[in-house]
Amino acid sequence: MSKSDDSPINQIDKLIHEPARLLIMAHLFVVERADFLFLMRHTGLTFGNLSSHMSKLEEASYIDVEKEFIGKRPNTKLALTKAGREAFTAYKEKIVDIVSS
Amino acid sequence: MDEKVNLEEIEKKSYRNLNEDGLQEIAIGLVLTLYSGLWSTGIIGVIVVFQLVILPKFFELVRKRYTYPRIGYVKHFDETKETGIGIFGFVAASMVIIGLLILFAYGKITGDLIYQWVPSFIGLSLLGAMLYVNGKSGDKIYLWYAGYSLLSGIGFSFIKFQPVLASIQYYLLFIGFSMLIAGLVRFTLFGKKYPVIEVTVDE
Repeated sequence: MSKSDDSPINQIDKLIHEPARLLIMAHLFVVERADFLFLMRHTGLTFGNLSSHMSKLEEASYIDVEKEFIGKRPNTKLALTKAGREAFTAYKEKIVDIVSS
Repeated sequence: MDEKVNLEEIEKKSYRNLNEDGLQEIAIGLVLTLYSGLWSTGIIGVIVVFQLVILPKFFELVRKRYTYPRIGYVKHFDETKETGIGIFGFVAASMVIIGLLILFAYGKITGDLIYQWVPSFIGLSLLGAMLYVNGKSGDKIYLWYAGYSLLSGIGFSFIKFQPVLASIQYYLLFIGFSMLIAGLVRFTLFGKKYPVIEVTVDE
Protein backbone atom coordinates (compact mmCIF):
# COMPACT_ATOMS: atom_id res chain seq x y z
CA MET A 1 0.00 0.00 0.00
CA SER A 2 1.56 3.30 -1.02
CA LYS A 3 0.57 6.60 0.43
CA SER A 4 1.48 10.06 -0.76
CA ASP A 5 3.52 12.25 1.58
CA ASP A 6 0.57 14.49 2.37
CA SER A 7 -1.84 11.65 3.14
CA PRO A 8 -3.31 11.86 6.66
CA ILE A 9 -1.42 8.78 7.83
CA ASN A 10 1.88 10.41 6.94
CA GLN A 11 0.95 13.52 8.88
CA ILE A 12 0.88 11.64 12.18
CA ASP A 13 3.43 12.98 14.62
CA LYS A 14 5.87 10.05 14.78
CA LEU A 15 7.45 11.35 17.94
CA ILE A 16 4.16 11.00 19.83
CA HIS A 17 3.09 7.85 17.96
CA GLU A 18 5.69 5.69 19.72
CA PRO A 19 3.71 3.78 22.44
CA ALA A 20 5.84 4.75 25.45
CA ARG A 21 5.94 8.42 24.47
CA LEU A 22 2.22 8.36 23.73
CA LEU A 23 1.62 7.13 27.28
CA ILE A 24 3.87 9.81 28.77
CA MET A 25 2.17 12.53 26.74
CA ALA A 26 -1.31 11.22 27.63
CA HIS A 27 -0.50 11.19 31.35
CA LEU A 28 0.92 14.69 31.22
CA PHE A 29 -1.98 15.95 29.09
CA VAL A 30 -4.52 15.46 31.90
CA VAL A 31 -2.43 16.98 34.71
CA GLU A 32 -0.53 20.21 35.18
CA ARG A 33 2.72 18.58 36.33
CA ALA A 34 3.95 15.18 37.52
CA ASP A 35 7.25 13.76 38.66
CA PHE A 36 9.29 10.77 37.53
CA LEU A 37 8.03 8.45 40.24
CA PHE A 38 4.38 9.19 39.44
CA LEU A 39 4.91 8.64 35.72
CA MET A 40 6.88 5.43 36.28
CA ARG A 41 4.10 3.99 38.43
CA HIS A 42 1.30 5.04 36.09
CA THR A 43 2.92 4.20 32.74
CA GLY A 44 4.77 1.07 33.83
CA LEU A 45 8.00 2.40 32.31
CA THR A 46 11.38 1.92 33.96
CA PHE A 47 13.55 4.83 34.98
CA GLY A 48 15.87 4.30 32.00
CA ASN A 49 13.02 4.10 29.49
CA LEU A 50 11.26 7.11 30.89
CA SER A 51 14.51 9.06 30.97
CA SER A 52 15.35 8.33 27.33
CA HIS A 53 11.84 9.19 26.08
CA MET A 54 11.81 12.29 28.26
CA SER A 55 14.98 13.52 26.51
CA LYS A 56 13.40 13.07 23.08
CA LEU A 57 10.24 14.91 24.10
CA GLU A 58 12.28 17.66 25.71
CA GLU A 59 14.37 18.06 22.55
CA ALA A 60 11.15 18.58 20.60
CA SER A 61 10.08 21.17 23.20
CA TYR A 62 6.99 19.10 23.97
CA ILE A 63 7.75 18.88 27.67
CA ASP A 64 9.25 21.14 30.25
CA VAL A 65 11.61 19.43 32.70
CA GLU A 66 12.22 20.88 36.14
CA LYS A 67 15.01 19.35 38.22
CA GLU A 68 15.38 20.06 41.92
CA PHE A 69 16.48 18.50 45.17
CA ILE A 70 13.97 17.56 47.85
CA GLY A 71 16.15 17.14 50.90
CA LYS A 72 19.07 15.16 49.54
CA ARG A 73 17.03 13.39 46.87
CA PRO A 74 16.93 14.59 43.26
CA ASN A 75 13.44 15.12 41.91
CA THR A 76 12.41 15.63 38.29
CA LYS A 77 9.05 17.14 37.44
CA LEU A 78 7.60 17.13 33.96
CA ALA A 79 4.88 19.20 32.33
CA LEU A 80 3.60 19.53 28.79
CA THR A 81 4.56 22.80 27.12
CA LYS A 82 2.04 24.76 25.05
CA ALA A 83 3.60 23.23 21.92
CA GLY A 84 3.36 19.75 23.45
CA ARG A 85 -0.28 20.24 24.36
CA GLU A 86 -1.08 21.48 20.86
CA ALA A 87 0.86 18.61 19.28
CA PHE A 88 -0.97 16.03 21.38
CA THR A 89 -4.36 17.58 20.58
CA ALA A 90 -3.48 17.56 16.87
CA TYR A 91 -2.30 13.93 17.17
CA LYS A 92 -5.61 12.87 18.76
CA GLU A 93 -7.60 14.61 16.03
CA LYS A 94 -5.44 13.08 13.30
CA ILE A 95 -5.86 9.56 14.67
CA VAL A 96 -9.64 9.97 14.86
CA ASP A 97 -9.61 11.38 11.34
CA ILE A 98 -7.59 8.46 9.94
CA VAL A 99 -9.51 5.72 11.72
CA SER A 100 -12.92 7.09 10.81
CA SER A 101 -12.10 7.99 7.19
CA MET B 1 1.57 -1.29 29.31
CA ASP B 2 -2.14 -0.53 28.84
CA GLU B 3 -3.44 -1.22 25.38
CA LYS B 4 -5.94 1.61 25.45
CA VAL B 5 -5.20 5.26 26.10
CA ASN B 6 -8.32 6.52 27.81
CA LEU B 7 -7.63 10.10 28.88
CA GLU B 8 -10.67 10.32 31.13
CA GLU B 9 -9.66 7.15 32.97
CA ILE B 10 -6.03 8.28 33.22
CA GLU B 11 -7.17 11.55 34.80
CA LYS B 12 -9.51 9.74 37.20
CA LYS B 13 -6.81 7.28 38.19
CA SER B 14 -4.31 10.06 38.95
CA TYR B 15 -6.91 11.92 41.03
CA ARG B 16 -7.99 8.73 42.81
CA ASN B 17 -4.42 7.70 43.55
CA LEU B 18 -3.53 11.10 45.02
CA ASN B 19 -6.59 11.17 47.26
CA GLU B 20 -6.06 7.66 48.59
CA ASP B 21 -3.93 9.22 51.35
CA GLY B 22 -7.09 10.26 53.24
CA LEU B 23 -5.93 13.87 53.70
CA GLN B 24 -9.03 15.20 51.95
CA GLU B 25 -11.28 13.48 54.52
CA ILE B 26 -9.06 14.66 57.39
CA ALA B 27 -9.30 18.25 56.09
CA ILE B 28 -13.10 18.08 55.75
CA GLY B 29 -13.34 16.45 59.18
CA LEU B 30 -11.21 19.12 60.84
CA VAL B 31 -13.16 21.96 59.26
CA LEU B 32 -16.57 20.52 60.17
CA THR B 33 -15.45 19.75 63.73
CA LEU B 34 -14.11 23.29 64.10
CA TYR B 35 -17.37 24.72 62.74
CA SER B 36 -19.18 22.67 65.35
CA GLY B 37 -17.01 23.99 68.17
CA LEU B 38 -16.99 27.62 67.06
CA TRP B 39 -20.53 27.75 65.68
CA SER B 40 -21.97 29.59 68.64
CA THR B 41 -18.97 31.88 69.24
CA GLY B 42 -19.44 33.89 66.07
CA ILE B 43 -15.79 33.66 65.04
CA ILE B 44 -16.48 31.75 61.85
CA GLY B 45 -13.96 34.02 60.09
CA VAL B 46 -11.18 32.19 61.93
CA ILE B 47 -12.27 28.89 60.40
CA VAL B 48 -12.53 30.42 56.94
CA VAL B 49 -8.91 31.64 57.19
CA PHE B 50 -7.89 28.24 58.57
CA GLN B 51 -9.79 26.42 55.82
CA LEU B 52 -8.64 28.52 52.88
CA VAL B 53 -5.13 29.59 53.87
CA ILE B 54 -3.55 27.47 56.59
CA LEU B 55 -5.03 24.02 55.89
CA PRO B 56 -4.03 23.73 52.18
CA LYS B 57 -0.44 24.78 52.99
CA PHE B 58 -0.26 22.38 55.93
CA PHE B 59 -1.57 19.45 53.89
CA GLU B 60 0.79 20.21 51.01
CA LEU B 61 3.65 19.96 53.52
CA VAL B 62 2.29 16.62 54.75
CA ARG B 63 1.98 15.37 51.17
CA LYS B 64 5.58 16.36 50.43
CA ARG B 65 6.80 14.25 53.34
CA TYR B 66 4.29 11.41 53.30
CA THR B 67 2.38 11.05 50.02
CA TYR B 68 4.76 12.06 47.21
CA PRO B 69 7.68 9.83 48.31
CA ARG B 70 5.24 6.90 48.07
CA ILE B 71 3.23 7.49 44.90
CA GLY B 72 5.04 10.38 43.26
CA TYR B 73 4.09 14.02 42.78
CA VAL B 74 1.17 15.10 40.67
CA LYS B 75 -0.50 18.46 40.38
CA HIS B 76 -3.92 18.70 38.80
CA PHE B 77 -5.23 21.77 37.04
CA ASP B 78 -6.61 24.46 39.28
CA GLU B 79 -10.38 24.29 39.00
CA THR B 80 -11.11 26.44 42.04
CA LYS B 81 -13.26 28.86 40.07
CA GLU B 82 -15.38 26.20 38.32
CA THR B 83 -15.65 24.14 41.52
CA GLY B 84 -16.59 27.26 43.53
CA ILE B 85 -19.38 28.10 41.09
CA GLY B 86 -20.59 24.49 41.19
CA ILE B 87 -20.55 24.36 44.99
CA PHE B 88 -22.35 27.70 45.26
CA GLY B 89 -25.01 26.50 42.80
CA PHE B 90 -25.52 23.19 44.58
CA VAL B 91 -25.69 24.80 48.05
CA ALA B 92 -28.25 27.31 46.76
CA ALA B 93 -30.28 24.50 45.18
CA SER B 94 -30.06 22.49 48.43
CA MET B 95 -31.41 25.48 50.39
CA VAL B 96 -34.37 25.79 48.02
CA ILE B 97 -35.06 22.02 48.12
CA ILE B 98 -35.00 21.89 51.95
CA GLY B 99 -37.09 25.09 52.15
CA LEU B 100 -39.72 23.63 49.81
CA LEU B 101 -39.78 20.32 51.71
CA ILE B 102 -40.36 22.17 55.00
CA LEU B 103 -43.14 24.17 53.40
CA PHE B 104 -44.84 21.06 51.98
CA ALA B 105 -44.44 19.05 55.19
CA TYR B 106 -45.44 21.72 57.75
CA GLY B 107 -47.31 24.27 55.64
CA LYS B 108 -45.12 27.07 57.07
CA ILE B 109 -41.51 28.09 57.49
CA THR B 110 -40.37 29.21 60.94
CA GLY B 111 -36.94 29.87 62.44
CA ASP B 112 -37.11 26.72 64.58
CA LEU B 113 -38.08 24.55 61.60
CA ILE B 114 -35.18 25.95 59.58
CA TYR B 115 -32.71 25.22 62.40
CA GLN B 116 -34.17 21.74 62.79
CA TRP B 117 -33.61 20.96 59.10
CA VAL B 118 -30.18 22.56 58.74
CA PRO B 119 -28.47 19.16 59.30
CA SER B 120 -30.37 17.81 56.27
CA PHE B 121 -29.26 20.85 54.28
CA ILE B 122 -25.61 20.27 55.30
CA GLY B 123 -25.99 16.57 54.50
CA LEU B 124 -27.39 17.40 51.07
CA SER B 125 -24.55 19.86 50.43
CA LEU B 126 -21.99 17.23 51.46
CA LEU B 127 -23.71 14.73 49.17
CA GLY B 128 -23.16 17.16 46.28
CA ALA B 129 -19.49 17.63 47.18
CA MET B 130 -18.93 13.87 47.50
CA LEU B 131 -20.68 13.12 44.22
CA TYR B 132 -18.43 15.71 42.58
CA VAL B 133 -15.28 14.04 43.96
CA ASN B 134 -16.66 10.63 42.93
CA GLY B 135 -17.12 11.96 39.40
CA LYS B 136 -13.53 13.26 39.37
CA SER B 137 -11.92 10.15 40.82
CA GLY B 138 -14.30 7.28 40.11
CA ASP B 139 -13.67 6.16 43.71
CA LYS B 140 -16.81 4.49 45.09
CA ILE B 141 -15.90 5.37 48.67
CA TYR B 142 -17.25 8.89 48.00
CA LEU B 143 -20.66 7.41 47.21
CA TRP B 144 -20.64 5.87 50.69
CA TYR B 145 -19.67 9.22 52.22
CA ALA B 146 -22.43 10.90 50.19
CA GLY B 147 -25.12 8.51 51.42
CA TYR B 148 -23.80 8.57 54.99
CA SER B 149 -23.77 12.40 55.10
CA LEU B 150 -27.29 12.78 53.76
CA LEU B 151 -28.89 9.99 55.78
CA SER B 152 -27.26 11.07 59.04
CA GLY B 153 -28.27 14.70 58.30
CA ILE B 154 -31.89 13.64 57.83
CA GLY B 155 -31.62 11.51 60.99
CA PHE B 156 -30.40 14.46 63.06
CA SER B 157 -33.24 16.62 61.70
CA PHE B 158 -35.77 14.17 63.13
CA ILE B 159 -34.24 14.21 66.61
CA LYS B 160 -35.70 16.89 68.90
CA PHE B 161 -32.84 18.89 70.42
CA GLN B 162 -33.12 21.56 73.09
CA PRO B 163 -32.21 24.22 72.18
CA VAL B 164 -33.03 23.50 68.55
CA LEU B 165 -29.72 25.01 67.42
CA ALA B 166 -27.89 22.15 69.11
CA SER B 167 -28.92 19.83 66.23
CA ILE B 168 -26.59 21.75 63.91
CA GLN B 169 -23.72 21.65 66.40
CA TYR B 170 -24.11 17.93 67.11
CA TYR B 171 -24.49 17.02 63.46
CA LEU B 172 -21.34 18.95 62.50
CA LEU B 173 -19.47 17.24 65.32
CA PHE B 174 -20.81 13.82 64.28
CA ILE B 175 -20.06 14.12 60.59
CA GLY B 176 -16.76 15.93 61.27
CA PHE B 177 -15.53 13.13 63.54
CA SER B 178 -16.76 10.51 61.09
CA MET B 179 -14.76 12.08 58.27
CA LEU B 180 -11.75 12.52 60.52
CA ILE B 181 -11.77 8.85 61.50
CA ALA B 182 -12.31 7.71 57.90
CA GLY B 183 -9.41 9.94 56.84
CA LEU B 184 -7.08 8.67 59.55
CA VAL B 185 -7.88 5.05 58.63
CA ARG B 186 -7.16 5.74 54.95
CA PHE B 187 -4.01 7.67 55.87
CA THR B 188 -2.70 4.64 57.81
CA LEU B 189 -3.71 2.12 55.14
CA PHE B 190 -2.09 4.29 52.47
CA GLY B 191 1.23 4.18 54.33
CA LYS B 192 1.04 0.39 54.49
CA LYS B 193 -0.08 -0.07 50.89
CA TYR B 194 2.55 2.24 49.41
CA PRO B 195 6.02 2.03 50.92
CA VAL B 196 8.46 4.86 50.22
CA ILE B 197 10.06 4.27 46.82
CA GLU B 198 13.65 5.15 46.01
CA VAL B 199 13.86 5.89 42.28
CA THR B 200 16.87 4.01 40.91
CA VAL B 201 18.48 4.02 37.49
CA ASP B 202 18.19 0.69 35.71
CA GLU B 203 20.68 -0.71 33.21
